[in-house]
Amino acid sequence: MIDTDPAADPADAGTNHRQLLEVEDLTKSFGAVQALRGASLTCRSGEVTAIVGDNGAGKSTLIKCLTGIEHPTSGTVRFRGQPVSLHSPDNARSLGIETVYQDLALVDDLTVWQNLFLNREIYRGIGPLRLLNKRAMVTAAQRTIEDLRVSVPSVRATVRRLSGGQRQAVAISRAVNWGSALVIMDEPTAALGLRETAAVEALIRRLQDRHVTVLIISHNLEQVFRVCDQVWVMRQGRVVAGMRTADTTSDQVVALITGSERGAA
Amino acid sequence: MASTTADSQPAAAQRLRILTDVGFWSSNAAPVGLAAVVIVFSLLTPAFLTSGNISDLLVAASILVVLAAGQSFPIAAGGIDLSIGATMPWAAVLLGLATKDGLGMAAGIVVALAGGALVGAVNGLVITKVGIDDFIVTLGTLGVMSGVTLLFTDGNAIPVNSRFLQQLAVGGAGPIRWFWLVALAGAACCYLVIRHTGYGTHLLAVGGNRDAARSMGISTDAVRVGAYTVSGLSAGLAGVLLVSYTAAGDPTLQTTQLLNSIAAVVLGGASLKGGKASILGATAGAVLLTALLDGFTLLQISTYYQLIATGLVVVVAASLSRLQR
Amino acid sequence: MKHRIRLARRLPALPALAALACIVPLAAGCSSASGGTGSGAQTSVALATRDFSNPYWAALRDGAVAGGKKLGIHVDVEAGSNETDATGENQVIMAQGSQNFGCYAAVPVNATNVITPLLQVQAKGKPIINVDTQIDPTAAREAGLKITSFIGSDNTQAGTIAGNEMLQLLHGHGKVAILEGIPGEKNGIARVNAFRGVTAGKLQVVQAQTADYEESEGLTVTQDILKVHPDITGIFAADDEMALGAAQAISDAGLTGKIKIVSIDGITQALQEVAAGKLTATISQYPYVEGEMVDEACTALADHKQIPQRVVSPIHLITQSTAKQAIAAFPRPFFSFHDPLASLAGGQ
Repeated sequence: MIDTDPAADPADAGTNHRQLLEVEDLTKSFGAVQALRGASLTCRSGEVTAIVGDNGAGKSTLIKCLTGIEHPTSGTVRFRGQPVSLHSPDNARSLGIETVYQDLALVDDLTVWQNLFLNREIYRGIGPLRLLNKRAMVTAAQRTIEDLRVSVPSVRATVRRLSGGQRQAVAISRAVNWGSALVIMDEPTAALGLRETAAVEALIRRLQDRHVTVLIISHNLEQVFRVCDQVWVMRQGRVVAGMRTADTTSDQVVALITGSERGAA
Repeated sequence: MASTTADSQPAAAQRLRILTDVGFWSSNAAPVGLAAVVIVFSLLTPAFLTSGNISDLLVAASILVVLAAGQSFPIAAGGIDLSIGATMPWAAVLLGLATKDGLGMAAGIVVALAGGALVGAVNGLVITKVGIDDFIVTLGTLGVMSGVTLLFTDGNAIPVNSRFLQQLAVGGAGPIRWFWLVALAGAACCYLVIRHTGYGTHLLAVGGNRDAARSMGISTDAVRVGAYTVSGLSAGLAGVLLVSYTAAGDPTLQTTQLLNSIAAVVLGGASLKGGKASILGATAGAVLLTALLDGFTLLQISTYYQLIATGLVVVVAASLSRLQR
Repeated sequence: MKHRIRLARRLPALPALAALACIVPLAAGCSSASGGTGSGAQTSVALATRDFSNPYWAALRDGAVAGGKKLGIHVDVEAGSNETDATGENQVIMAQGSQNFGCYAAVPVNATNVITPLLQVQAKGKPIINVDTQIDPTAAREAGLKITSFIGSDNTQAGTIAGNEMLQLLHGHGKVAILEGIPGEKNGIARVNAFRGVTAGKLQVVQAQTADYEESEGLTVTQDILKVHPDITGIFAADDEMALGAAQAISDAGLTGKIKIVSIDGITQALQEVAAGKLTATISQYPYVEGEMVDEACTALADHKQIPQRVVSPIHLITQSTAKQAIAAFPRPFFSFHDPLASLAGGQ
């Protein structure tokens, strides 16, 4: 059955599951162009949620509003039940929201550990004379990589020498390292082959074990059904439907994306 | 499961295989080239490998070492500083004017360093706030500062007579000359900043992938302003050394030193695209370029061949860097 | 593994190539001379100048080399890379200084740059000859540098001769422009000041501008001056390179002969232009002779003879009538002159 009311969630009643993230009626205009026309969705804590939709549906804009790069024209975002105003990436980060962008935001000529600790370096000493504590960072990086069972030749390897899948894994590890609450991923396996996609999906499932909430934009419906618990469909700036993946099929989702099924729009 | 590379070959063979890695040659072109040049010249003339000549060679390289160390910062940030060819004489002239007006050597040196840093900071601010290309802005500053310096001095060099500066140029503790100790100290500070401070990592990030750095919350503007301030400061130090070496605050534009500083940085393994820096490499590159000139002079080979050789060395180093990608 | 490119066969060639690149020019070009006959004492001369791209310094080098051959002594002439390369020149002096030459000579880039490296030469007890452009005597004295002798032409006298010639050409009145040398360069300043001194009150200097001793700059500056002051009748250039540029500008404007151009130096191209009538006159200085005189001075010093503290090399006014003679004799003077060092060098 298609759940046409995104805000109501019958599973909520009487359980410990809280909505980590609630987005209500977000609108965003760029001049005359209305990218978001009242989008609403929720993310349950500890789950993997997906946003799907055709090009131009407003997925990226919605994500940018959540990561503080764009400011919505109207609407509310609630984090752990409290309304928040995400006015900058730093602000979003301080709430525990980390994002893995499509371009990964990795610096190729720096090492894995340097990328993991970029702008969050560990120092020795105090004040303006403090120096990098490289050993501490290398050790911590190794621990993170091992914990997440990510396969890289060494944390001292430069990112340039890693394969696409390894880079993706490093970017995700970084987000998970610092993102205590919510990790947002934009098309995490778009550029990867089958084997590496499987490795990244395995990593995402491991995040679930650590109670990290994940929000994914994906074009890959098979992936959505493999990995995610909840899927939201966007079309023309609105969220037209939201379902548990267990309760729906790929065909239904496709129909909602293209508009042959109207959904709650 | 973290993977490891299977070690099927003995360690020694493994180490020798590194010689076939272009990346090794590219990052180490300068020290290797320097060693090659030293060996070749030592074989060709007994006058090269004497403590006197090596000492003089290092003195002659000192100014370039300082400039190259400073130039590494803007280049690492993905830009370039073309203005140091004018900032150096600007600082030299400031030192000359300060000491002429009776301000004392220490104050004069501070004024020279501050004057250099100020020009660098202005470069950085214009580049980041107004948003014009680094190449254009520093090219403009080159012209402006050259003209300003000539105006301040009416085109004349200001003689500076100072026992201290003279001793700096010719004195030392045995064969260890103060002149290149100062230059080495300057380069060492730059090395420390790049390798062991957060700023250094941020600098490489901004040059390597500016959007990534910004996404991670690094203030790319502040980092870039800092980079140009450092290169301005190093031009200031180079100006002080120049006054010491030539006993005058000469307002003449120093285009050869400017070009050589860029060549030395490239020789050292940095890419002009940004994201990499090697102070050791740039220092070796500076000494290499100076050694070429020195050796050719000792061999009494025409300057024209020197120019060809220097140009060839730079192109070879840049090719190695290109091959690595 | 795609980053590891097998260059095992190619890479060892690189150091070999570098070595070759150094050996080949060694085989091809050495600019020094040694051996030969001569009854003068054996010594060796190290001469440093600003650069070799200016024909003036090239003539200085040629004279020193030829003089060395004649006297049978080894002469090494080195230079920086351009007229303002103070650090480059210092470097070559230091390189020469670390070798064991008998006698050192230098043309400074500015008033003081060679003082520091020459102090080291002095520390070895070698004589030091200041050539062509005078080192600032106050700075030298304060630094403790003792110059054995100064060999050069008298730029003030040259400027005076130029001024007098201009007065004669313009019949004592008229408007002139001056092309100055690199700002701060001593010889240019001396020449211009002398010119002004002699022509003051009679000729009106409407504009004085630097053209940095460069021909192309002389051309553009003259074009600009002509736009503002189309009524000038004379141009004085502090060196021939700038005058050649000015002559081109005048010729392009069709004013050859209407505007008189006088300069100083006496390089070949200028002499040819004077012969052709595009340049009116030049004061020929003889850097070639300066070079020879350096060798003579060094030989005399090696013989423990005293040489004068100041040796003046010859200069001469060259006009269209004497131009051909000058060209024929170039780079030596076509007239006889007094060389106080010739006898001291003991052999010619």
